[in-house]
Amino acid sequence: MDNRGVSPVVGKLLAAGLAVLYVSTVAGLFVGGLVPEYRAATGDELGERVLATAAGTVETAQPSVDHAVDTRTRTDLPTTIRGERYRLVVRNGTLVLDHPDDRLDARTRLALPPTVTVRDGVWHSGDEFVVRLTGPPGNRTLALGEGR
Amino acid sequence: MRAQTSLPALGLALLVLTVVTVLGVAVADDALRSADRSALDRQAAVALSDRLVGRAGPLTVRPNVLNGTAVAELNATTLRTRYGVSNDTDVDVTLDGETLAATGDADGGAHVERLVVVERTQRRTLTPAFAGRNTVSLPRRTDRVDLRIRPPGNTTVSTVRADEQVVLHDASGLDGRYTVSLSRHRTVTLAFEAAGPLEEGNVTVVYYPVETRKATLGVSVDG
Repeated sequence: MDNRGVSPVVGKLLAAGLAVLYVSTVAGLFVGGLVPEYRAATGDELGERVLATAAGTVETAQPSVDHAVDTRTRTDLPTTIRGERYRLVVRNGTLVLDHPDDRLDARTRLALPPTVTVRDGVWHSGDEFVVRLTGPPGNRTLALGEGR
Repeated sequence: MRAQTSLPALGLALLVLTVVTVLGVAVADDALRSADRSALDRQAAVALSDRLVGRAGPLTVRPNVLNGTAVAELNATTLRTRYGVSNDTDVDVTLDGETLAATGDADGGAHVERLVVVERTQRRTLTPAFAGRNTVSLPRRTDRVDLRIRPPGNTTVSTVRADEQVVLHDASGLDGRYTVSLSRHRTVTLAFEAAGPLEEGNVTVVYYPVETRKATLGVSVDG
């Protein structure tokens, strides 16, 4: 048998096999280790910023007039964080971000003047974030709403 | 030797690919790290500084103007009760670098600075001599004056003017203590119209000049 013509085929197969091995190793490294880590870090950061924006909207929704008011302040918040919908819960003067992935949960205390009472409530992502403020200047009530 | 894939060339190509991949990941990591903001701390610092210098706060006379005596009374307890700082948040409020009130160590947290004006009100008394004309110019701007008018027996003071504008008028004679509001944007000349001579001691003027200085209010929040 003449083996002289086999050598280039084997050589090319070897080279192709090596390249495929390399690519699959690197891809496995990425998908297994790096990519989830980055997704978690960006999801965390986004969750914190969403909560800060929501708290900022609530804290600056105070009208500076001296008579009874009924105001609504709206902001747009992202529909999903890391591909999943989340909720914002107000309880006891604290705003909590409740995400199905518990590592992305965060909380912050709302700094409001003592004349404002905050009603407990829940807001589900996907709608506009609405802050509703009603009442006379000495005793205002703040509540979260959805859309209209 | 014909048509042999050179494995060394392949090895070199894979090496270059590895280097490029590592560089790309390093750049992405750096970008993610530099985009890290402590958003919640920053929001808390901005909100607290807005409340401290805002329109209707206990510290402020007007927006961005702080009352000097109220500023000196700010402490950790009022930060918690009046401004809603929670117990596990460290807040540090400084004026021109000096700490006014702190609820813990806020180094390394978000820091916000506001330019403010600090105002202190003083109380000065002036007894005009009425040497020639019945006028007195106040040396400082003030937003109100307290007048005490005790005319001598043969004189009635009928009108008091501030810069040509009548502020007090009584045709049967002014006698006693009066408080007059003035514009705090210019110094005022008070003129007394009387049907007889006025002497030193008949009128006492108490005015309230304010002393202002520019300062920087810093708020640091950690936690």
